[in-house]
Amino acid sequence: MTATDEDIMNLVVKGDIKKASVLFDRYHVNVYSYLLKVNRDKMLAEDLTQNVFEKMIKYKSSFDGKKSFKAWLFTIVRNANIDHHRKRKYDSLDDSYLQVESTERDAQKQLESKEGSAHLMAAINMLPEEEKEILMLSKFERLKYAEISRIMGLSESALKVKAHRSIKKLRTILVNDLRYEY
Amino acid sequence: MNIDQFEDKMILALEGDLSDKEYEQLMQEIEADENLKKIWRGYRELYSDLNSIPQDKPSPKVKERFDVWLEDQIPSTAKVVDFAPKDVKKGPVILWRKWAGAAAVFIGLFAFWNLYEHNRQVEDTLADVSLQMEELMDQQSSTARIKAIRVNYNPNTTSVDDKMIQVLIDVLNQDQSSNVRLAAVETLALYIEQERVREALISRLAEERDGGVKLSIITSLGQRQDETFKSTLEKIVNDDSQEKFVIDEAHMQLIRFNEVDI
Repeated sequence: MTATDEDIMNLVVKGDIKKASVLFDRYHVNVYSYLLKVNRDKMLAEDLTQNVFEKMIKYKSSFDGKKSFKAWLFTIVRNANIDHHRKRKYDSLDDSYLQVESTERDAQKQLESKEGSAHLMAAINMLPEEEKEILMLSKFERLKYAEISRIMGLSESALKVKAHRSIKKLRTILVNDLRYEY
Repeated sequence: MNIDQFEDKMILALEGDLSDKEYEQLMQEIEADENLKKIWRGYRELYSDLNSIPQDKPSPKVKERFDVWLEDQIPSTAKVVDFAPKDVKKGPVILWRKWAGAAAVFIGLFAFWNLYEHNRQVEDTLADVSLQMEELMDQQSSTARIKAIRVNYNPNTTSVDDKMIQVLIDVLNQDQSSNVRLAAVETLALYIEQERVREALISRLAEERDGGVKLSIITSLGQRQDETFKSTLEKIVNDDSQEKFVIDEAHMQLIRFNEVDI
């Protein structure tokens, strides 16, 4: 029988650091994919992925063995991403302009490509940051609303309202702005 | 119910948050209205598309980098070569007052032989490590090359041979992987007292493109406040094309030279 994520993480907490590589193998694609979709920067997504798993070991004692490992890991992912952007904002205020400019350019590029789900990702990228995050954690990472509410520090009911709103907005963007059939 | 309220109900249905009775009632209402049918189809399709968005895969170097980092976190598996010969014998000291003179000569000779033997064993060990390192440096994987450099990494030693230093300098100047170059800098920093090491690091600083490697070189050179390094630091501080964290570190090192006001 395959050991659960929580069992493995409990071993890491007890000092068997090497077992962290099993969790890395299980989740580094999820973490990278999430960070890439949020940031649209491959190098940054790779650096942050490394950073997340380093933090997983550094803060291993904060893991509650009775709760979901994936939800705990995505709390680290989210915090690492926020920390990075906070530092970046502090480093250079001018960057925010560049970020917006490149974000729009990337969204346009995604639309032009029309490959697979590019149009959907372009529409998701037009959502406000918080709604985009909720959508990605619930639909791509398949985390439960109760788990996402803990990750984002929101009440479960407030989170559900925001999640439903984000779906409605997404369809409006696709139908009205991007002229897709939905 | 208006369209907006219907849409809320449809989302609740797709999230599985409606009771069987509520779901059935909604389906009847949708069935009776062409516009609602179209909206319902749209939401179902949207949910289906959201569930099938593919994951992006990172490059293999992400795993490689984590494995190297993880290995460094495990003290028991750290690959450190002890340069001190393990079986250097310590000669017995014979104290006999009547033969003190003869014993002194004997002890002197024995100590000399012991020192000679110790040096020979250290040289043999260094030659072995050099050979081992050179062989490993030919590996394709950057993880293997970093391991090769780590073979030479022992923070408690100052023993080194010229060949080994040259291999490390070559790696620093030629290796494509910034992680490998970073490992070379960390190991070379152990021999920072050697002028050729300092010269190689200063010269690399002008060529290096990776911010992390540059940072490590500046920090390493900062351990030994060498006047020749000061002008390099000044250039970095005044070079706008450098990364901000590199300029900050160069500035910090200049402060340590007591030249810049905080």
